[in-house]
Amino acid sequence: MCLAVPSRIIEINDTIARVDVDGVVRETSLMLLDDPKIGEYVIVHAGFAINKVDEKAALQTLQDMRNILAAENAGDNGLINQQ
Amino acid sequence: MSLKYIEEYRDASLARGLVKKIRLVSKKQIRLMEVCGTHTTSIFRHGIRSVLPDNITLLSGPGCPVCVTAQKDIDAYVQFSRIKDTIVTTFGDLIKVPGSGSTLGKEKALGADVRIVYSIFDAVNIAKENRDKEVVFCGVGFETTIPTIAAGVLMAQSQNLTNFSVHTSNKLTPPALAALMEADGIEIDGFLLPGHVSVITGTDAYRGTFEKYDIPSVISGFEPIDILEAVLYLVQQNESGTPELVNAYKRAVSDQGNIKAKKIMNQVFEVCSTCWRGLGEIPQSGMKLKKKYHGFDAALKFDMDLPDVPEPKGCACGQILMGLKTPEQCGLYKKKCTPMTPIGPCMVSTEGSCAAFYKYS
Ligand code: SF4
Repeated sequence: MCLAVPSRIIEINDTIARVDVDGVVRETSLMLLDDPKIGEYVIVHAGFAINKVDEKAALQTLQDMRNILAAENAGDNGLINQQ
Repeated sequence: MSLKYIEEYRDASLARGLVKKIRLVSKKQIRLMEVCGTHTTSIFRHGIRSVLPDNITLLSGPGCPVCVTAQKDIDAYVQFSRIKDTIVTTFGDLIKVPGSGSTLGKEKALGADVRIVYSIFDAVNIAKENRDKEVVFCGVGFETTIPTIAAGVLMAQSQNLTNFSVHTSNKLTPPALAALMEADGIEIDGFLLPGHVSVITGTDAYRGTFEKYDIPSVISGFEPIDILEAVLYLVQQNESGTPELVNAYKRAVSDQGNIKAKKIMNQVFEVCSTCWRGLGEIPQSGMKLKKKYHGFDAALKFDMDLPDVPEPKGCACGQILMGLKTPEQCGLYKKKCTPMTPIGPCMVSTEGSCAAFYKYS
């Protein structure tokens, strides 16, 4: 039921937006969203934008995970070197 | 244009790193439940079960809306479709779900006006274009869908569409988690909490259940990296014996959730107890129209009596939804019950465990 792919707002007419998902354009209601702006990414569910995607948080999560794994690898190497 | 936040969250080297880390950390036998049907499909589609170590078991919980819809509600949809000059609008998945005698799909084949809509928005428009007919929207869904149904009711009200009504089977997630934790024989060591339900509810909505049952709980997105990250956190919490409530889907979920959506939802609906297929009646786990909106209640409008009906004999959907059985342990699986001839709802919806097992194993 959920479309997990973020859609980009390309046009706003009152409470209706046109959103783009990888080249496919659909209409989406903005009734459940505060302060939508053109260019923002939103999550769409059953024809309604239900939230914006926080770009900073998206990038931060990826970076955090890379850091955790990098620390892990460094640890691995250290262990191997000691042996 | 690329698919924003999709490619990055499918990065193969990051995924391999996470799998390696999970294998390194995970020692205990644990059973993790994904509560959302979209997680179930994503886990199968990306082959996540096959890369996890054998000591981690993934269970599919009661998060496929179609699968938990009570049979009497399906019977009601069928009855609406038999009323003269009535158009029944519904989400696609519901059309094949067997009620006690028929399905919406069969009624359509017999000439009933049943239309699949992508959104309640479309249903409201159908009502606008067909003022001489009654339009009933049959909707099932969790916190992600309930605000959209509320918005649809408000739209119909503002346009004075007296020929529009809804029959909803709204379900709330946190009370269902609590009911699961209270059920006999349940063994769950952690919840992979639903990403888009949480977009609406916010992390705070789970705090009560988390504190009461002290169970590892991680909100997750739907891409492979999201799911592996959440599994890693659940494994770490189990190994260290320190349960936490973690939001691992920060790009979409906040502590408070979508306040505007919740406001619209609470304007139109109020909390009530409701019947979940397989799980039975769970207090405070549903939402019904407030009195002010009873004009939009299809069951009241058509004076419909909805008796309880027994669930199909031999169908183990209920136990599967609670993580007590796998589809293979149901005697009907792949024999009498297939996606072409589904007996229970878990085989009908693409998000149901039985259908996912059938397709991917
Ligand atoms: S295989 Fe069919 S009958 Fe068995 S539990 Fe699943 S849906 Fe029910």
